[in-house]
Amino acid sequence: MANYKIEKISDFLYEIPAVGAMKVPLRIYASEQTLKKMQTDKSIEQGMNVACLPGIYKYSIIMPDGHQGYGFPIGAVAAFDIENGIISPGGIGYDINCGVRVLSSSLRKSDVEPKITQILDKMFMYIPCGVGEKSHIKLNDTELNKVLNKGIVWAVQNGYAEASDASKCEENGSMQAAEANFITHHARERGRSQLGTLGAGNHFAEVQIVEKIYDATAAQHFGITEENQITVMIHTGSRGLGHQICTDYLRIAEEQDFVRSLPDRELAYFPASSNKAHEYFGAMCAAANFAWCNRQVISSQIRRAFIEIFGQIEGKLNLIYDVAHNIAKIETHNIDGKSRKVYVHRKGATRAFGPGHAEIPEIYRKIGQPILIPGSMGTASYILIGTDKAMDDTFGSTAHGAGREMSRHEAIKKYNADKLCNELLDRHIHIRSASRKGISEEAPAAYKNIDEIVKISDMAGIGKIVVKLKPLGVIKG
Amino acid sequence: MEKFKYLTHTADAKFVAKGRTHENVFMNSAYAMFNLLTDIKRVRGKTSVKIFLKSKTIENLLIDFLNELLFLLEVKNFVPAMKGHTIKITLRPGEAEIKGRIKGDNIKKYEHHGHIKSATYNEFSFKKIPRAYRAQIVVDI
Repeated sequence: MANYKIEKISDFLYEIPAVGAMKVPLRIYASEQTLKKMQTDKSIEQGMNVACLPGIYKYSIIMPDGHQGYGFPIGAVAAFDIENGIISPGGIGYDINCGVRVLSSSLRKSDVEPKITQILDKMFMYIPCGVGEKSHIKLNDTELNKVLNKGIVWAVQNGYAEASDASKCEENGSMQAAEANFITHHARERGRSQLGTLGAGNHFAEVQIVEKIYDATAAQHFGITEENQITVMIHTGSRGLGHQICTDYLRIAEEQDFVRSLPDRELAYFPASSNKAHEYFGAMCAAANFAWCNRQVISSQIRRAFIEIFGQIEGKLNLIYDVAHNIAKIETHNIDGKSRKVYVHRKGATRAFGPGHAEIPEIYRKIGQPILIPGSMGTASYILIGTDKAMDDTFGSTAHGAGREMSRHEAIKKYNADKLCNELLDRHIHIRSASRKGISEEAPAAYKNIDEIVKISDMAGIGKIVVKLKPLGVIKG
Repeated sequence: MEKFKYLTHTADAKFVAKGRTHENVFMNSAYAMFNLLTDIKRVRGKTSVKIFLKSKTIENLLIDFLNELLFLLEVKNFVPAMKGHTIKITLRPGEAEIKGRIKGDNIKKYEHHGHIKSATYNEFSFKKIPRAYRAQIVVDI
């Protein structure tokens, strides 16, 4: 499978025609430089493996931030027939609905920068970060079921969300197919004490400033009207509950006889019409609902910190949008002139629906869906909007982040945490982290250049840049 | 014999563990995995957890064992110590079983960082080598 010929379609799009067992071509969104990087690991081979799976339509796709994963590469998008296709836990990933939300404020840099230490201290106090830190919310079985089955509705009913927050989340923060009964005891126990916790690794909560507005009209729809305005970004997912669901269902999928013939056992899947596919999808949707509630509870703690410092009016934070980066959805797409229902897998990719789509909140429908792309620690993040071209070419999907290009082990050896913190402080970026090594691991240089990634999305037409955000203060696990 | 060593992996973590017995290679895999989070040599055997798992094959049992330990980490903050385990692995036709106790402590008592989502089948191998067993595992971080 490793032998392939790459054809250049345009400056930012490459194609590997279907060969061997591939049912469709592999399309790669990349610059010459990022394509070369992808060729140094297994991401292209993994993308070609995805193209071999039953019921796949049009293309197996690798996004601009693609890199090697397990089974599917990270940055993979693939759509499979709802009846004759498949659903693959490894095509979504362990952190189900790992995602991002951004909140806007009316505060300016000059209001917040003098108080950033105080803000971060409060955020760090209110939001449990890192391994072993438990939530202040204790969920009994009944309440946990409500979180899993209802998603953001639970958060609204329990005072963690404003009523308008739900409509500003992908899927309104609640996937209707969720079924808590399809989740194991282990997944429930892992999730029970983790609602409202940030986790570790590349997850963070960040106070940002608007560095540049590229599209003033679209930005205005997000409540962003000028540079130096303050925003808050949260990046986390379904925590141990989602990890366990993926582990449990991959384990079941992996025991099927046909898996031995797959090039990678983590490609294991359930035929779309099987009972197990139905059960996995119900469990995955429940984990997605948990993740939306998790980001919502964290938002409520950050809102609390801002109100305590700036008061009810000035400290108000409005949710702009919340997107999932690791998820499967049942969506209808125009494929070869026919409207078809498919399981769209996005593993390290963001939905990027274009203007007018019925699933975009009404307030954004004219401009296209907000796309939230976080950078790594100390680097910029971006807000883009979805495009018609993304609908046509990528099942309405685009990039999701920077993507690592240096191993954690190497980053720890190479970057001293204190030195890194001082360098960031020199650039007016404040860090609070539960661990020193965690800072080294997440050194900005360990990641791809986020500016390059979003430029590829923009130039390829699968997302249009609206706003660039710069970090002012970050809390991490 | 080196208990474990890390191999290069950009996004996640990959390691090889070796042991003269099934029990040894299982525990050395566990040490390699938890050493990604904390200095495993420092962990003391202050408490213990009971392990009892059955899988179809020894390979599946190893992945299940590591994932069970990740479950105990998140639910009980448990991290294993490098000595004091009393696990026994039994192989029967179509079944592999691990049973026993593992000593360890609360990870919050030790400097720690990062997290692990799952032990995976990606690039996974388990084989007999001269006078030992060798496991290669990628954990998703």
